[in-house]
Formats: sequence, C-alpha cells, structure tokens
Amino acid sequence: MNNKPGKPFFYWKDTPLSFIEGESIAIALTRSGIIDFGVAQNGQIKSIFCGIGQCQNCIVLVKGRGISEACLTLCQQDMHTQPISETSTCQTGVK
Amino acid sequence: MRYIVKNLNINIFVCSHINFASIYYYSKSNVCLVLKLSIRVKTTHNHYDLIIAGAGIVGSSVAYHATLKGLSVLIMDTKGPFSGASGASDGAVSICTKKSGALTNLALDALKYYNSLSFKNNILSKIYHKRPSYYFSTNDKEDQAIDDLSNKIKTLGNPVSIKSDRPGKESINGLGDKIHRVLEVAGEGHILGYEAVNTYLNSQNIKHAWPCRLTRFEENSSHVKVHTDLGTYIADHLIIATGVSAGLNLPNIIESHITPRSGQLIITDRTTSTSDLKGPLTSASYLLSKSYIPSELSSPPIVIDPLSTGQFLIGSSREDNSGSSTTDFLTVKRILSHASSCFPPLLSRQVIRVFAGVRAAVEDGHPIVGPISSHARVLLAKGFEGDGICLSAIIGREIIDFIRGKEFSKDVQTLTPERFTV
Amino acid sequence: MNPDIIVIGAGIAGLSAASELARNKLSVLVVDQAVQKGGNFHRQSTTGHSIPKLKQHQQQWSRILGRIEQFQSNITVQCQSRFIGVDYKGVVMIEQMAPNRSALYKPKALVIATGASEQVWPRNGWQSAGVTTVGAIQSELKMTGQVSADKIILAGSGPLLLAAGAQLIRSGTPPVAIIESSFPFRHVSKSLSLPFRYLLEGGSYLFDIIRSAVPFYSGASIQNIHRHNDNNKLNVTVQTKSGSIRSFETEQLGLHDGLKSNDYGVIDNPGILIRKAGDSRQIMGAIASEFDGLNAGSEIAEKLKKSTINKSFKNQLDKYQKAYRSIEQIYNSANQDIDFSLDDETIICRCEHRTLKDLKSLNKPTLREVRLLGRFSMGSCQGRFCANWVEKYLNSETDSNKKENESLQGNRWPVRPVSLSSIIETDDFTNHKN
Repeated sequence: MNNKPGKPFFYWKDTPLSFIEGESIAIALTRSGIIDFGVAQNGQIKSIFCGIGQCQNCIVLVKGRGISEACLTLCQQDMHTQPISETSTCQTGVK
Repeated sequence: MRYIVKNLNINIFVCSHINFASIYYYSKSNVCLVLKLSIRVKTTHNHYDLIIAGAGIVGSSVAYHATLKGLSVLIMDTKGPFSGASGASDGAVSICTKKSGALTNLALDALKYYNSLSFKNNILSKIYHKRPSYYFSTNDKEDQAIDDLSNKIKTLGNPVSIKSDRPGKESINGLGDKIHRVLEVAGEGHILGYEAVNTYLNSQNIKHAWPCRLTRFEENSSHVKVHTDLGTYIADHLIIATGVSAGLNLPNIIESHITPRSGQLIITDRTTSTSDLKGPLTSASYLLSKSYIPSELSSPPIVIDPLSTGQFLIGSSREDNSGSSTTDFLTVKRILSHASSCFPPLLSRQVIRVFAGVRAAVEDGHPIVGPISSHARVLLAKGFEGDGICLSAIIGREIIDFIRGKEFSKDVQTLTPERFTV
Repeated sequence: MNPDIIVIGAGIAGLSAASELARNKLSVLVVDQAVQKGGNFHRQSTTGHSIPKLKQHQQQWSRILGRIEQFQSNITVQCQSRFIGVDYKGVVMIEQMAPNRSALYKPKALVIATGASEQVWPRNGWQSAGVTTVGAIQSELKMTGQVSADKIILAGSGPLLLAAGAQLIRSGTPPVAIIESSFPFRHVSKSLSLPFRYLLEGGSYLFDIIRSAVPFYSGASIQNIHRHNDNNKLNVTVQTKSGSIRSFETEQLGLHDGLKSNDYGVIDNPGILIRKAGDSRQIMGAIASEFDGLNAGSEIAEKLKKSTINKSFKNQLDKYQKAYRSIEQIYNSANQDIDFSLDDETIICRCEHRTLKDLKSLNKPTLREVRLLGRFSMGSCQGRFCANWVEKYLNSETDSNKKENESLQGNRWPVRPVSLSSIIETDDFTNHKN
C-alpha cells in the first residue's frame, strides 16, 4: 500500500501511495483503503459517486491543476493531491 | 342601526369610505359609532383594501407595510415570489452608488430604516447585515470619483462614515497591483432579495395568488376592479410593482419610458479559507456608470461581493437589450478578467453559475412612484433598476402612508409618473 | 482553428456523427472529458487490463473506429477536454485540462452526444462514502479490469444491474446480492419479442448470474444505508417483496434507478444549430445510438451542404429505438413508484446537503423558491442527481396536474463548474474563419 521502491507513487495529504499506471486518483485512493476524500464546507462527504465526472462528489485538489474530479484525473508520479476542504500549498491557481 | 342599552343611545353607522373606525360622543347619553365596513363586516372573498401586482421586493414591502396598518392585502404575480430581478440580484444596500439628489436622500433614509427594521428582534434582524463597503480606483478619473464620493459621505453623515482612505497596497490583503486607492465606508449593508421577500410575505396574514396574470384594471371613485385569469377582484387601491413585466393596461406614455436592462452576474464556489474581504469591493467605474454610458468608461464597472456562504458574487454588465436573461462568454470573460486583476484570490475559484438579472430602468435614472389615475387609486412603483432592494423598505412604508391620507415625502414626490405626462 | 462542427462526446453517437460529417467534407472537432475515446459504453482500459467484451460490442467499436480512421483528415479528437457550454451568441467554450488551455469557438453546428446520466433516487444514508452508482463500478471494471472492493451489492432497477452483475462475476468479484425493485421476469412474452442481439446479451448475463448463484431479489428495495464508524463497511437494510427485512454487510453499494439524458445546459435560443445525438437526445441504448449519431451527421450535412440524407440510418434507428422501448417496458420504468416516504433527515440534494425536512418546510413552493430558499439543485452538479426527484416529489404533493414549463435546473452555461482562470485565459477563435 505504501511507497515501494520501483513502483510509481503519488501523494494524498503528503502521504505517498503507490498506483498502477493508468489508474485514476479515485481508483488509486480506493485501492489504498481511502474512500473518504474529506468533508466539504457544507457537510458533504467527498467520495466516488458517479465515477464519470458528472456528480462533482469526488473533487479533490491537485497541485498545479486546482480543483479536479478524482475519477477523471489519472495519477502521475509525484502528483500531490488533498481534500478540497484543507488549505495548503495545493490551494493555488491553475498556472 | 340603533341600540338602546340602559340609558345610552348607541347609533351605529357602517361605512366603507373611511380609513379609521371612530367613536363619537355627542352627549352623556348618546354615542355614535362609525365603523369601517372592512373591519366590522367580514371581507367578501374578492374585496381587499389593497391589491398588489408583483411579488418582488417592492411589492412585498408594500404588502408588509399594509398589514402593519391592518389593511387586507392580496398580492399577485404571474409566476411567484422574486421571479424577476429580485431573485437574480446581489442585494447591496448602499448610498454611495446612488445618483446625487433625491435618490441619495432616499437611500440615506433607507439605510436608517433598514437599521431600525433589523434592530434586535425586528423583522429583518436575521437577514440584513451591516458590513463595510470598499470603493476603489484604478486610474485618475476614478480617483476623482473617489474624491467626490468621499466628500459626499462627509456631508451626508449618519449613518455612513469613512473608516479609512488608503492606497491599495496598504488596504485589503491580496488586492491587485492596479488598485490605486481604497475608500472604506461604514454604515452600508446587505440583504438577499429573495430572503427579504420571503420574510415580508410570511410575517403577516398576506393572501397571495400565483401564478396569476393581471390583464386589466378599471377605476372609479370608490374602488378599482382588477381583472385576472383567476377572476375579478376589487380593491380600494391597486399597486403596480411589476418590474419589467408588461401586460397591464398602463398608459403607454409611462410604459414607453421603462426599458429592461440586464446585468450579468457570476457566482463562484466557496472558499475554504476565510476571505480577507469583509464587504463588497466596488469599482469607482461602477459609480461613474450611473452617469456615463458604458463605452465611455475606461474599465468595466465591477462589484466583488463576498457572500456569507463563502461564495463570491461578481457583477455586472449593464446591457440594454430586449430584456432577455441571457449571458455570453465574452462579456463574462471581460468582467472576470477585470475582477481578478483587482482581487487575484478569485483566480483559485470555480464559476458554478452565471445568470442575468433583468431590471426595469427608466431613462432619467429615477424610479416611477406615485398615482397614475385621476382617482389616485392606482399607484405605480416601478423602474428601480438596481436600487430596488435598497429603496424597497421606505417606498413600501411611504406608499401605505400615502393611501392612508398622508402626502409623499418631497423626495418621493420627484418620482411621480406625472413627470412624463406633464 | 475554428472547426465547422464541434461534437461533445467521443462515444458511440458522437464519433458516428463525426465520421458522417467528415465524410461530407466538414471539419469536426470532437471533445471528451475522459482520457480516451469510447464514452461510457466503450470505455477503454487505461491500465492495459479490462473485462472481456461481447463479440458484438467489439464489432461495433471497431466499426466506429474504422469510420473515424477513414475520414481522419477532417476529424480532430481532443480528450481531457470539457464542454463548458454554449451561449446565446452561438459561442462554444471548451476547457482543456491537460495541458491547461481553454478556447472559445463559433462553429456552424454543435452536436451534443454526452450520453446518459444515471438516475439515482435518494435513500436514507446514500451520501455515505462507499455508495456509488452502478455505472461507477462498470467504469472501474472497464478501465482496470477489476474492482477494489471485495464485497459489492447492486441495487435499484434496470438492465444495467444484470450487465454489471455479470461483469463483476467475470472479473472475479461476484456481487453479494442484486436488489431489483421491479419484476422483470414476469414479462416473458415481451422478452421473447426483443431483437436477437438483446436476447443473446441479456441471456448471457442471466446465465452467469444464475451459474454463480448470485442472490437476485425482485420487488425488493433498500430501506437504510449505514456506514460503520470504525471500518469501511456498509450495513444495508433491504425490504424483500414479501415484506420481510434483510440486512447485508458490504464494502460498496452500487445504486441505479434508470437512465436519463445528460443534456443539461443547452439553452433555448442558442443562436446556433444544435443537434443532440444518442442517449443524450433520448435514452435508446448502444445500438440505436450508433444510427442516431450517423443520422445526426447526415441531417446536419444536408442542412449545411445540401448533401443527400442517408435514409437507412433513420430506418435502423427506428428499429432499435423500438426494441429499446421494449426493454423499458419489461422493467416498467415509466410507471415505477418512487418511494417518497424517506426519513426527514435523508439528504436529497447531495451537493448542498439539503434534506427532505428542508424540502417539506417549503410551503407549496414555486420552482424558484425551491432553488433560492430551499437551495436544492444549486450546487456543483447543478441538479443532475436531485432535480428529477424533487420535481416528482412536488408533483406528488400538489393536487393540480399543472406543471411549470421550467425545470428545477434551468438551462444555461456553465454546464459544469469551470475555473475562473480558464474563462479569463481562454483563446478566442470566434472570429476565425471556419
């Protein structure tokens, strides 16, 4: 589940997680046991719902990309992701 | 009717053409009771003291003030409450954005009245919020406009005052470099149009009818007959507060002076951090736009309003079109470009909604308030373009005072429909 | 830089429309928010693994790809790109995600081929993590060949439950149970009148489900969903057709109550020729969508280039649309009773966290009151997952049959949230020649 030498990994809340090439952030998180992507300001639990980018339920913050659907964004090596409800270095504009 | 109780003669007269019930003592043994028909006798199904056409902010304010005085009210709308501009607006209650003269005076009264209506547990206390307003300039012409505004506020006094007047860099955190100067004004406020309408209409026993289309009114010396697709109603007075909607048989000479003017507005998602912006950020070009046509302005007039939900409302364009509530990419791009260069934290936000509020504008920039008929039973309250929410509370109060026999205040008198017919 | 036609959606209908338009020498830009072409039905693997596909499906996909290849000189497919909307001046905005670039276009016509949205009715506890749509499960299977969860329950109504059930079995994770609210197996004669392709497909799904002894409950519905605090498990309470209550433990619950067109946001007077194609025009299934796309392309080419319409497309379309309607009748989709007797605390609008209690507190509201006072359909999904249910609930509450012309969602851009910076930095190709 955690950082294994040789396997690609990305970050969720600064924790490295491995992923399989071609997996979306949503699937990689779920496979790592993370199905709860944080709580939005109005109380909505962020998680996978429709899986195809229509419900906006799985949105996360991706450093360098801003707010993105976890189900539509493929994992990339060293990608930093975190819940939208937390502020940190991910909370910057797109460029 | 005459009753004799012990040694007292009681004469009872029932009359519909008075405003108040009265008791007259002629002598120790004679009492004359004059009762108003609509209080003493159960109101017939379709006879009201007041019928209001239009359940927007102005109409609902009139309805509320009417019931405060014990008048029976029927408010009607072709669709429902706040279905026009009142439900597609920002809600800033401001004096700084008003043209000088009657509108500024009225806005001053409006602010004071809002303060009293929202005091402690009064009706608007939960939904009217006082907050600082920030007016900024980005060039010399706008600097001048800020100077003028600053002087204006100093002469107006209570309840507005200047809290600070600083260069952009020393003002709000995160402000863009192009901001020259920021004037912080205290004493203005904010209220959401739909919350105000809803609060007014639910506060008292106000009968409503929607969807209901009014087609025609007929007036005589004793009452007004209002024809609708749900039937015919009778009232002592009819108030027409229909915004941009036409359809009633208003005199064309007045109708022709009202044009729809739309403003495109943008709503963003919520910020996760508390914004450093505590009140609306309004560009000086917005102030200038009240006097100049848009193409003469060097930068688009914008307002950035931090809503209590954590979302931003950004506006607005002012477009003379056929009243369609449509929005277009290029206009929104222009508004957002300027807004984000003035306040860069907007760049990390997403736009979730874009809409256009269609307001009724009058060519001389002043709303139309007053009787439009010989018997003064039909009153107009239209054409507030962007100032409706601000002025609605006092206009409602004044209209009810007027139909109860009081004269309009001097400032409201300047809004008379007669200025078009004379 | 300004294509003749923009097609939204690189699925069955979108690519079919594109190839037909390109064949008529129109330049076409096809955009899709996914990483690759395929849409929902032909979602391609991204990891190199996928679930086995039926031969007839593989054939359809090859056919569609073949047409694109044949006319590729006139077609550009741009993935990871979102349709933000079309305004009343006929300007179309496309936001490209990777690399980040947005553009405004003014094409001669716009084809909306965004497919279907799953209809999912609210249930007590459906907002819990671990509750997804059935489509999300299928999507994961198609992209990776497997699912992360070991225990999955499928619930709701529709042929998708059978398809997904069989696909799960084939991937090695048979569902714990399939909970179907209607009685599809009562309509034997109707089933036998379906075209052979459908019978074959449906039959193969059923065969796998029976063979694997996956419990299938007809006339059953979910009463409650509860996620345990200490683990990732869900407790699902089901009422069976006899009225008894059964409880299941599972990791993932897939819900599905039907399909509706994903056509939100296309305004009434867009100032441009717009044609919907495939499921986004009307739910019609994979086979009919191919012909609807071809037909749409043909019709637009006729309008713009005065070419002759290919009538065979319409004929095939009619045939397979009719067949799909038979499937809908088997599941009695049109007459399904929706359960409005949920707990007051049930979340109805997921995005804005609005409950049934909030909805009930509105007094005979107009749709505008439901939006502005109730805050229903005012969030990021723009009512895709609550508007339909709320409208039906309000209709069930009123005596009159009068329905407002508006829908709760309204119809305008942006059709999805779009970053402010994308709008500002958008390239403007509207003045470029087509």
